[in-house]
Amino acid sequence: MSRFIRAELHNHTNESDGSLSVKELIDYAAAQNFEVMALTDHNTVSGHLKAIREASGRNLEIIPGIELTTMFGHLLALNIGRWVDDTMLDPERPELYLRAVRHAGARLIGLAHPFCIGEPIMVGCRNSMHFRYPEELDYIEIYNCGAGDPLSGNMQALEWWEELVLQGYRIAAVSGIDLHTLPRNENVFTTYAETPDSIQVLGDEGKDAESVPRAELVMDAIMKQKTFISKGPRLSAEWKGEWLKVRLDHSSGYLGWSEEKARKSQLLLQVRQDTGREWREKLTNPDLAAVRIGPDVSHLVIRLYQDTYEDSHLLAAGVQCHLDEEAKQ
Amino acid sequence: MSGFQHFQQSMSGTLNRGFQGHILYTFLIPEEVKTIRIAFRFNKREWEGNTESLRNRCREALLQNVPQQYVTDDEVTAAMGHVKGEINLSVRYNGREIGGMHRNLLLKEGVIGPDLASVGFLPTRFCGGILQLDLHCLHIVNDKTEYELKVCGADGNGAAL
Ligand SMILES: [Zn+2]
Ligand SMILES: [Zn+2]
Repeated sequence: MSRFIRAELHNHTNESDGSLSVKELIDYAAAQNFEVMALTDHNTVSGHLKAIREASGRNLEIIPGIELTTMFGHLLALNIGRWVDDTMLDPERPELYLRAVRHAGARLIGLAHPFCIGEPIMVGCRNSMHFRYPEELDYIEIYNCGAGDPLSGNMQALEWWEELVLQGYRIAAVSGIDLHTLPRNENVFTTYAETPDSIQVLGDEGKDAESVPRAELVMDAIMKQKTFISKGPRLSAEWKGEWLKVRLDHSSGYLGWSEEKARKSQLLLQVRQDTGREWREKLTNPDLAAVRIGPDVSHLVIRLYQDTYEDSHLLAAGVQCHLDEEAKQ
Repeated sequence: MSGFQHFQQSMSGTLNRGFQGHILYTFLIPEEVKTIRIAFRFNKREWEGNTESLRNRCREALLQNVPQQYVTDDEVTAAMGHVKGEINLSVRYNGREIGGMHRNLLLKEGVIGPDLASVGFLPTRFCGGILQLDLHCLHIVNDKTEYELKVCGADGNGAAL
């Protein structure tokens, strides 16, 4: 059995260009049942202490983060306590800057809204950094809810991320609510982190995951590419031998999603494989799908749609499986 | 505000359309300074150039995100409304980042002291040393865009936040 944690990893306050105070953001996050929230103000960490203080005693854990707002794209850094000077950032060699960000303590680095509209409308928002080593990014925001479509370029981001994963890069997929003010449209993707029942440390017995802070579990899930984006259903994929099994959990309640909604919908599964093949199937069982995988496949990505395969009917994406990972089990 | 007369630095400059980069000011602050006030202003934030050329550039940018290769005039006009000059600011004290101002306003102001700091800044105990202010010139949309940066220091913590 898997346990899922909801995480919102991209949020702003009036510490940078948001309109909400840290307290107002935390009130909203708690009311909306974010389980884990990263505070990622532009180029400042001044809200961290306030956020941790406001969240204490509530059912909400904080990841101190920052949106490193460079002229060549926006990077999200999690578990970091300071801004990292980007004056020497060369967009042709961003790996040097990424190294500096890690040196500053970042546990995880992600790329925000890579295909957001750029110059001259929103200068710096669209990524123009050339990542020669894409694996230096721990995650990519494949769905950003800040600018709205078509400004966000979300489908391009999803396609790009899928191509990287199918090339074998281990990069997690997340959504970004990119909250600057109270949202007008709450019908947006959220991120779920899939966590194991027990956490094992080398040379140690497994420890019940319930006893580990959820913020840590979310960061661990990103590190292991066990995150995905969803409008309700939660997916866990297991690839053993020639079979890929996808289990669907409909109990999240996110955006009113339920067992009943799942049964009333025609759920459609799409599996893209590194061989170029794309497998699509109408699910007869809304809780489980089994897909036979050819022996030549090494990497695959999964999407779930509702009723039709149109972009606007996408229900979940960002799930990935790799052959060598399964072989280890 | 009389305490702020204790220490004052004032910098200014003129930028032309298309400049993108960072301007770094580095200077010493006296040991008596305990609270710092920063005020930054710039002008010409709204596009004053040829509207047709801007319209074309906005249309091109939008087309990159529209799969059907078609955008309406209204969509382009709405996008043009987003085009604004923008300069942000980061502050470092003795090599350590202590925050910044990242809201696109024509006038940005902040106060930093040991116990309290304006939004965007970390409270900081100043005891002499090097202050660095980094202007991030993200988008300069007009020629002869002028900016002015003022930094004042006070020996107490009497600033109104
Ligand atoms: Zn951003
Ligand atoms: Zn953002």
